[in-house]
Amino acid sequence: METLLEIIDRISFLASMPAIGGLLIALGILLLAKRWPLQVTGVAILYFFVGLLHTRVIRPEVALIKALIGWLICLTLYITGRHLDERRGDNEAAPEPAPTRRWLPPLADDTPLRLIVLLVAFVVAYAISTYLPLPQVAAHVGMACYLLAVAGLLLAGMSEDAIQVGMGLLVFLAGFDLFFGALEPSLAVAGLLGAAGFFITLAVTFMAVTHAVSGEEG
Amino acid sequence: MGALVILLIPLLAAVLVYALRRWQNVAALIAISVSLGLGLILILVPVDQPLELFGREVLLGSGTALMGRELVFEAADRAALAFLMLTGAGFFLLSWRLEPQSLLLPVGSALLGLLGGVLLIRPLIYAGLLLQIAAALSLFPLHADPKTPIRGGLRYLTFFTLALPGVMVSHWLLDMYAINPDQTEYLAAAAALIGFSFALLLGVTPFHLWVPAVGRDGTPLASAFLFSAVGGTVWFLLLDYLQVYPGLSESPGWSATFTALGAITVLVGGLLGMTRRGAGTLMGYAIMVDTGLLLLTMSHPSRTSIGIGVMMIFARPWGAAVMAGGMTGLRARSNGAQAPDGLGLQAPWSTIALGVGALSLIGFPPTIGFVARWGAWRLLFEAEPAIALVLLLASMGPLVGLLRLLHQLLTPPGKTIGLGKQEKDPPPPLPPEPQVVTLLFLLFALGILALGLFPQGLAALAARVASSFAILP
Repeated sequence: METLLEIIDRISFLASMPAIGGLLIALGILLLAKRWPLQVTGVAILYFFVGLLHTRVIRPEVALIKALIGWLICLTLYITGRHLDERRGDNEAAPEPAPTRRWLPPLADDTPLRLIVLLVAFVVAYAISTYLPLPQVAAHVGMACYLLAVAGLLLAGMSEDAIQVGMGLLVFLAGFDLFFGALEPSLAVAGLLGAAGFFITLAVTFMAVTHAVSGEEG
Repeated sequence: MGALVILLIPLLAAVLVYALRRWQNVAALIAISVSLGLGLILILVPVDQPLELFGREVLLGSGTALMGRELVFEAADRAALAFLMLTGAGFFLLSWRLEPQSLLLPVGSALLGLLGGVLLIRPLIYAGLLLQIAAALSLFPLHADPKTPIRGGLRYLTFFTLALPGVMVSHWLLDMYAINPDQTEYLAAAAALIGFSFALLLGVTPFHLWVPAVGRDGTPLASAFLFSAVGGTVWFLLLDYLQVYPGLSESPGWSATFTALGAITVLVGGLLGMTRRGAGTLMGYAIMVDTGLLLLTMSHPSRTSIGIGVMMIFARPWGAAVMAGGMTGLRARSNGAQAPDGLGLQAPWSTIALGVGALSLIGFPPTIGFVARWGAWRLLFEAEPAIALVLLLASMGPLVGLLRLLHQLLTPPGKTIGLGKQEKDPPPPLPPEPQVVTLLFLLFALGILALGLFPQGLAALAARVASSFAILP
């Protein structure tokens, strides 16, 4: 029976360029998916790859805790999404399924724009990490930090929906956390950054729920 | 130990207040008495002598360690903490009668504990993290009303989150500079990051978008609490940075940047404040002018300028709280609309509170806001008379906005005649404002005027706080 740390050790070969590929896929899901369950899945995948990259910067145990905090945040978002869906289900008739290709999940209405945004985030992150490399971290980790920060900012700026903005801020914070872990690898900082992420999640889910109530009333 | 007790008591009170929120009067009494009691203890009780608390001797003025981190309790922190607690007590008192169902009482109590932690904890990276948690927490009372849009809160949270990396990374850069004092690029990068982060946190132009948005979209008392308590804490944190890292204010361009950003913020806040976009937005623009003027005052840190700055920080909650109280009173009678025509005639005390609070926030005599700004304008006129005159005129923009708002509130609604429709009947008269609310408005408004006419005590306190910040002689 393998321990968790042995499993992390076995998959740590992914914690280089493959992890950046994984982050791009996760960000793609987050940006392009229309429905919240897929978006939350995207965030969960993102926290997995961020956790993997963390193993290059901090102790694997702490990286595991950070990933667990991330997945706890995903659980909170999932429960909120379910709650909002149930509310909508109580008040509205089920919408007609949109005609779409069977092999594709429903995509956002502005998918081409979002694809361009993802591409721009990647190019900007690559350019900045080349010309302004982050100190104390390997090049690919620096690139991942920039990618998360830029994509998070764009994600937060593209929407006025509380959950979407919250996800954008969480992605931004994940990128910063990855970098700052190398500068200050203390447990207290890791815990407080995790708490900050969790409180952001609580705040945006609270606003999403209260706003849904007003939407129903209106 | 003492510092930890002061931070823990509001946090424990928050839990208690939330648990007892069904019994509104009891919950409010706990929140008000805890914050008022702590504020008075911090002012009146000598913190360097031991107090007996639950059979144990506690030295309030002592620092302590918390999970290996230090809680520093210095003279300046004592005044800043007292300011926070008394600000909280004032807001809780208004909230008790005006918004008894609001989350401001429990969440506000917790915020007082967290913001106190921001002021006391060292190293300062932990202050940044606690501030971020406080910002997220403050969205609960800000957007508890499901009828108001959430854009303001989301912008506020976004700007505070963007400020976090700068506050934290600059600490590492300054540590590196302390190890390698010949590598000045560390200092330059840290100064740039701190400047950027505090510009976001304070809502300095061009990062001001969240300020009017919070005033417009948030519940009035929670918005004003955020501008006063969180805003005041951010200013004291900036002063802490300047004290802990004295090289910052000496770095090239620091003073010029402060001056330029301060002047632009006053201009933008003043000009936009002339527009008629509702009382909440007006409060936001008045806060922007205040922030810009504070930046201008502190562009050349000295005991005098910091004393004036601290006085302005102390004066802000008075105007913001009373204005927000008036807005809440009017909102309760307007069925959700911002400020319908003639509403002020039906709610005269709320209108008076709004007017007096706004005048203090704008810095109009004889309010406490005017006294605080008088020193700032004197400093500016001595240095740059022409620019100071332009800024003074621009800073009067929110006064124009207030006059337009009051005109709308005090003008009876005209009879609307639609195409082929009959004239509308005037709205039915509303019941008079509750006596307790009227009494509270009167008390706070008189406080604003009394402190404006006799500011010696507050000014002396501000000067004492300034002298305890050992930034420059």
